Amino acid sequence: MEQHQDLIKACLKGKREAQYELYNLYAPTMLGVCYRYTKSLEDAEDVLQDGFIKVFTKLHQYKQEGDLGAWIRRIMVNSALTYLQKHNRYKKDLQLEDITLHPVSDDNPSINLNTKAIIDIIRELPSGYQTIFNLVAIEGYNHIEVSELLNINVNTVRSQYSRARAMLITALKKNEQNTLSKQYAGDI
Amino acid sequence: MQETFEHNISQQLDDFKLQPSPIVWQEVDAALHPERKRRIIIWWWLGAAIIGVSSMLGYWLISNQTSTIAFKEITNNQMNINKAIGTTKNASSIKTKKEIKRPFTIDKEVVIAIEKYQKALLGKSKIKIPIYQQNANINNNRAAKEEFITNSNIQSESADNVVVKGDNSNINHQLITSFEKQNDSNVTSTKSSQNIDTSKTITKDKKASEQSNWLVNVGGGILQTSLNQQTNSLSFSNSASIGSGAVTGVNNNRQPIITSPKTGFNVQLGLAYNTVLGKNWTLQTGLQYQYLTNKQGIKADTTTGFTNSFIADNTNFITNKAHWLKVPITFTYNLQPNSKHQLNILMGSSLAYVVSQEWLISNANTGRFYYNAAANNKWLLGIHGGLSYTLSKKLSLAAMASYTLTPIQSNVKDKNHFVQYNLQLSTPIRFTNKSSSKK
Repeated sequence: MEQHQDLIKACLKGKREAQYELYNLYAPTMLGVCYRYTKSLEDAEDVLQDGFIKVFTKLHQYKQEGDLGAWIRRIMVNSALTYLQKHNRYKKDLQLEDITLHPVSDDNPSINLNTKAIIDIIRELPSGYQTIFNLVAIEGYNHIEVSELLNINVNTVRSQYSRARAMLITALKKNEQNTLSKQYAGDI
Repeated sequence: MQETFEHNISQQLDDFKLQPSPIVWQEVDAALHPERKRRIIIWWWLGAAIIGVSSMLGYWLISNQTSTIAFKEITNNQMNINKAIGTTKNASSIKTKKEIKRPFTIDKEVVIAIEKYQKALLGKSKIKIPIYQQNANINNNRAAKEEFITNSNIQSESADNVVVKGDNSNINHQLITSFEKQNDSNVTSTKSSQNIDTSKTITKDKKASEQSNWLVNVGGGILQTSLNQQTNSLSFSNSASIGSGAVTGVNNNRQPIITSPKTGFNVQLGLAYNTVLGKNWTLQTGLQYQYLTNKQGIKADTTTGFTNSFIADNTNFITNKAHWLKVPITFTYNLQPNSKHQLNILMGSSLAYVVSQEWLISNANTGRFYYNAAANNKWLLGIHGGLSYTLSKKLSLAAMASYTLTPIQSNVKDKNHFVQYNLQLSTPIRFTNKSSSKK
């Protein structure tokens, strides 16, 4: 943490080497975050770029009590949301309609897939579901916070999340079955 | 129960990492440090200004020297004209065209001829005759040599055995003007202004071609890149693999591998203008086309899935290539100005415009190579030096070493610079007329 404090001080002074060091320290993890919100690696890198520019320009706002990684992660998530709302290929899916409250499923399947496969399945969801699932299930935002972030009704968040969760579980089960059948057939 | 599903997914995805392409940092860096770009531009302007000032200084030196000598020549020639037409006026007082006309009582045609002669001489104001060349002119002309011996009080010497060397400015100027007069088919006897004019123009052209000339140069040599590698103290992240699905952590022991490219080659073709600055100094500038190429051992980087990312490999090679248009400015110091085979020391700078370039960028931190046209520098400032040797009147050979001060790519931490070792053959485009030189 002390090492980070020195790094932050150097970054605040505008030292290029320090900025590069901080970037190298967090860029791989943050690209993993951005990748979950977007449909392509290029878009994820665009988000990462915007996010890091914000990180360095707003670093003075960081209170050095909390975890720097978490602070950067929040900026990345906000950058991703801004990016999605700005670009037409995501914007349409993000205009979530108020729908009837969808019953929350109690289904709790075991996850026997690797990280890459899970992420690919999440990324195959429509952008709206993808975003809400990421925010709730992975980032840990509650429904009220998500409704504020996306400027939508809390009930809409709830129902959309429920749908997203159901779709994901179905997709995970399907993927798992395919994998098993391939294993029986000797493909894997 | 529901908590468990979210918790499991969250935990599994928490460590997911992807290595971003180097372009991302370049873009971030460019956005954070726009003044850095400005600083680079300022350096370019400074380089261009130095080249500009050097050129102007060179031009000024030439103009200054030639105008002084030309004035002396005019005065001397006027004295000779006076002698030729039989006037007794004191030559030292003759300085202007008006003064030379006033005392003449000869016929109108002769006056016109003299005026034309003077115009021809005044036209020489841009011509400078170095001492060694004056000596050469005398040595090549038996009559001139005999007169030189008489004027310099050398006794009992045959003209054939005398070689004129060193600074004999006063005698030489008189002799040169005297022989010019003789070769002019006699101003007073022929009374042909047209003949005088033509012969002087030929003499002037001959001298100009010997002093300042155009050269074609062709050459080539080996090319290397010197890499100032900036390795980062941070650990190298051997991170998630999109293609295979394997996700690994950070490997603190792994060192990034960057291999240097193979030694390449370059070829060049150019046109140069050579200007004599003094007895030993000449300035050469012009325009050169240069092609540079080398091979880099790489293979596709399958760990990231980026099509633009490569890693070092010793079996597969990719060709780097670049096309330049270059303006070199070279100062030449002649070690043997009086020798037939002259040895020169060359030194100078150049400004090259990169017309096109496909050159892999290396990143020591990630151990990867990649292409990024936007990161390529368009203008390269360089320095060069070497030796040249005059093989014959029509051919000289130069051995040069050059180094680009500007790195190949901007906004890249690892600084690659071009180093070239070349051999260059130069030949003048316009040669001295043999028949006129024999005169």
